[in-house]
Amino acid sequence: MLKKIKEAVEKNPNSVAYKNSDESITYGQLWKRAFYYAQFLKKQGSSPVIIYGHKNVSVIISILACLIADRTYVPIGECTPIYRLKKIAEITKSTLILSDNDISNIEVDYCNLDGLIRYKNNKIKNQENDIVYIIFTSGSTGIPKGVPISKKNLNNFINWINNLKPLCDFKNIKVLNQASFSFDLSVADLYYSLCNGHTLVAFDGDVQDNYDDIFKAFLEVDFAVMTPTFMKICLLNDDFNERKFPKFKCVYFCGEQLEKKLVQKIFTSFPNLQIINAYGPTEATSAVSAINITKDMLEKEEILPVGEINNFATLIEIVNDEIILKGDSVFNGYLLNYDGGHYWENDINCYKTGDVGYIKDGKLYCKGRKDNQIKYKGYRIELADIESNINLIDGIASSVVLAKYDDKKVNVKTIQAFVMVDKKIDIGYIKKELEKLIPKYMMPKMIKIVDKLPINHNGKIDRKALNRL
Amino acid sequence: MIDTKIDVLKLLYEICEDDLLYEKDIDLIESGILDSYAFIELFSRLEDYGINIQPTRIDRNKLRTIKGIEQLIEENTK
Repeated sequence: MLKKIKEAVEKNPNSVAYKNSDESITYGQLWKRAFYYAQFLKKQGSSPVIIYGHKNVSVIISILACLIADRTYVPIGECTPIYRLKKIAEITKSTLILSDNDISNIEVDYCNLDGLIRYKNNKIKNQENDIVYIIFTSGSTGIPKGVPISKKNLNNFINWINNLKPLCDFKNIKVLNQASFSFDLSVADLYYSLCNGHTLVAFDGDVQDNYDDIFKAFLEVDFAVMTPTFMKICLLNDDFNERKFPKFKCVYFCGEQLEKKLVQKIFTSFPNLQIINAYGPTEATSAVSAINITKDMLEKEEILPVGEINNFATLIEIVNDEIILKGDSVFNGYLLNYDGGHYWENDINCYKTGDVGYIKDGKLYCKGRKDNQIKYKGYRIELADIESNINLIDGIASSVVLAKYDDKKVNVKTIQAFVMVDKKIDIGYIKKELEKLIPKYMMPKMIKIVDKLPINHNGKIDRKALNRL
Repeated sequence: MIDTKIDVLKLLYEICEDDLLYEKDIDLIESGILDSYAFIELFSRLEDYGINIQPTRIDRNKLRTIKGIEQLIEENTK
């Protein structure tokens, strides 16, 4: 994959590799600066390098520097509280954090890219490294789960996405990046763009707060990688249509269920837009399947498919209604041997996704989850992660966290927490303490203090009864 | 047309069930109440009432308060 990026650099040194609303960098400059920082990184041991930031050019330089220096990188979004960042640094045993933010209170030394502050206690020897990046997702114990992705995993993904129709036909295009680099939807746009010499146009912030910037970006982008929610917000404006944005010709969705109603709306505003619907968990490198959504599917299909059997990135099987992934896309197990759906079968990595799905007429469909994991605002959240963190707060005896769905039972509309207290504390205090422990997107919208939590006849918390409260 | 005063609050509560809504002088944007989900739902539900508001053509500050949203509804139903 690094070879492909290098080829793109040599071929188009003066084309823009990456831009956001304030800055941009060419392939030549990007390589030069990344190469420079890589020399520094090579002398700094071999522990994973945490990249704590958002969409600054320095983040892209840091990622490429890690690739060149053969150091694993761990992208962490700025919305992650310092407490959780420290937990992650403990898990990865990272001794170096690259960031433009002031995080001097974190105790792990950090490195400001402009200042190149060195970490003092690094005595680890350089080792051959197989892991390219580690993405952290919500873990049910309250400690984030690290998913290490190897070179083999990533190369397999890149080969797959590079051959997807119509992506394989695009030349010198502009690609929109919506997701944060800590969310592995971005792996699709980042690597597809850099490996093919395209320009990655990053969108920063919430679209509803910043329509001007996103519509400015859409005037120039040919292809966009985004969540369906992002598209829904754009489409609230009648002005978002093919006549006004004639360059925009293809969209790649992943990370959330794509509803027929949304596709109908897209085709009304953009009748010629090519829609790719992709599917895959972080544990199998961003995505493992994709399919072009056509107008006739709106009539024929009950739910929209997420893949075609002849075009899977890795082996996909359905066992007891659950989607099971096997092969080169699948990671080699969580950090700290966290118990999850990973297992081996004759030395082949396999992963039980927890997603309920089926294969019919050569197409893959995904219906939802088997467990309490939810998708909220595009983020994957274990409700038990929130519970475990609430329970850390002084004065809390126990808690239950629930997700409430909309009438269609598709989107989570809110997260609610019911807590029992053993001290006199109020909701304001609980919220303030919880904000220090978990990212904002995981915060329950409603917290209720209750005298007792309803128990069902199995002795377990009765979630249904709570839902009626 | 819907009777705005109570309904916007009720509508928003139906959408996000966020207790913060009942706090005095709450800023709907700063507080995170009007997040991406609530934003989509609010505009889509208003559309169901026949009120078509274009997010790009409004004063965003009006989305900060219930009163502001009531004004937007009024402006777009004239």
